[in-house]
Amino acid sequence: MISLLEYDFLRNALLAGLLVSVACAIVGTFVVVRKMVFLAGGIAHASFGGIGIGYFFGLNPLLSALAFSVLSAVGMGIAVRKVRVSEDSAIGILWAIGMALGVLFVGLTPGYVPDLFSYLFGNILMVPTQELLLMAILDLLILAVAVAFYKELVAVCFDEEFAWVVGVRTQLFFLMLLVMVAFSIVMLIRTVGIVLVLALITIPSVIARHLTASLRKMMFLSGGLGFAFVVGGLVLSYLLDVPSGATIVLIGGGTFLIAEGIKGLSKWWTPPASRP
Amino acid sequence: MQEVLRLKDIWVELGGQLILEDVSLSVYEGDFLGIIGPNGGGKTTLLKVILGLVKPFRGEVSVFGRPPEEGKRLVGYVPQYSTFERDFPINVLEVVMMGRLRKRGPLHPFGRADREKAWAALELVEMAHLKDREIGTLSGGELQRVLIARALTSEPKLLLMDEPTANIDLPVETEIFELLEGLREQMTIILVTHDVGVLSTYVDKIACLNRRLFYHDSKEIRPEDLEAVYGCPVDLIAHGVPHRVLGEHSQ
Repeated sequence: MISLLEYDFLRNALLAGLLVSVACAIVGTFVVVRKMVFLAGGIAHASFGGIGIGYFFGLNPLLSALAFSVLSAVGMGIAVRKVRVSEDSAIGILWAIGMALGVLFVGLTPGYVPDLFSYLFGNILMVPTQELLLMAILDLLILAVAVAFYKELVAVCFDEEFAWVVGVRTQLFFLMLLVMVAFSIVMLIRTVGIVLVLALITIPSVIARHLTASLRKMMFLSGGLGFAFVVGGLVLSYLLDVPSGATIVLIGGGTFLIAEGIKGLSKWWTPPASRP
Repeated sequence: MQEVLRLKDIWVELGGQLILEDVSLSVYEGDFLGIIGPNGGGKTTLLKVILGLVKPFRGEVSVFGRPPEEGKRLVGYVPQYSTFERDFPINVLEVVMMGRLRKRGPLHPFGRADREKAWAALELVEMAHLKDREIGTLSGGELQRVLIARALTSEPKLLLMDEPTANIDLPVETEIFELLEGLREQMTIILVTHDVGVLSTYVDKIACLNRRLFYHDSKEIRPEDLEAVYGCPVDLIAHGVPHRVLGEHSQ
């Protein structure tokens, strides 16, 4: 029998999974189609700086991570345009600076640093109720922005130059998108951890892309897939007593490989002449 | 005749390299101007200067009598199609609707009127039957028509086209020019290309660009201009095009 305490943990974990899937569905889809996975990875790792600062100043690390990753998202969004180095170099540098700041502040924090590991690799069973509230608020913000500015966000992702020509404030919407990425990363830190954030942002949307050619449908499908991965990983990690974050990611990764395999096989079965 | 575009002594530098040098150009309402020049000669940059995407470090740009940031409201743009990812999950109608972003600001979702405008533009370029097709599955010629339709839904008075016939076979190229011919009634057209081919049959004015612009407000290209632009004598008549581009000139 599951005890009442365990029931609380599981309920929170499932709610966290649901909230995270919504954010990943929307933001992950934009990230994947705009091909800015590496940029999202940069923001995720830079957020570790915020966690370190939170520890050092005795703040809630998740809140300081939120502030820090929003700032680094905006910073990166501006840097990749203005700095005279290539986009991926700029991302790589900011990625490393954020991580280094985190390590430095964690090192400077006197005494034992609790749950550091869970920020890096996630522990969905440890999500406190007040953090669920934070996640719900972030979800609502992401949802509101995505609905209100859907056509502008799509235009900026698809063809930024043309969007600018027809009067869309592309820099503003690009930064808005990056702030949404920062929001979802902060939500994901508790679930799969900073190091594994990219998995839930990319895998559901990439699989969904194979199933549909519509951006909206991609969002719904990847939401469903993301939630399935979280629940599956949660159950499996509970049964096998292994880390939840890694299990969630591996289930997603496994599904991706199987989907690719099926696609490859179906191509292999189709005689070349009948391919489109 | 109204002056649609005026460039005065434009100098552009990108990444430490001089791309445009002292370019001046006036384009009038109803003109169909073809700008030819070698790859890397600054053709795309020139269009981007007109759109306000690239700032010259010296010189004046005036589009419909205004700075490009304001003037671009009346400008339609057909980029070279390499500017976006072809595997983006979006269909033809959705792409064409993006031209409507100019009329439909943030917080106003696209409605029936926008879809009808997009549909009409697709009809005009004869691509309406492909409206639900994924953008990545189109052929080069189909995509080019769709991009023209997208520019048309923004209801421009000046249409800028960047290499509209790159990656397109000659028969399709002719069709695209026939289509542009039909648009001339409603808008001024500027087209840049490195491919002289069919161009000369349809445009009524030609300029040559290779960092510097050679233009005499006519269809005539002087041999010395072409030599200056391409760095070697070019025979425009040698490509199987039965039209004389060069004016008669004595040996």
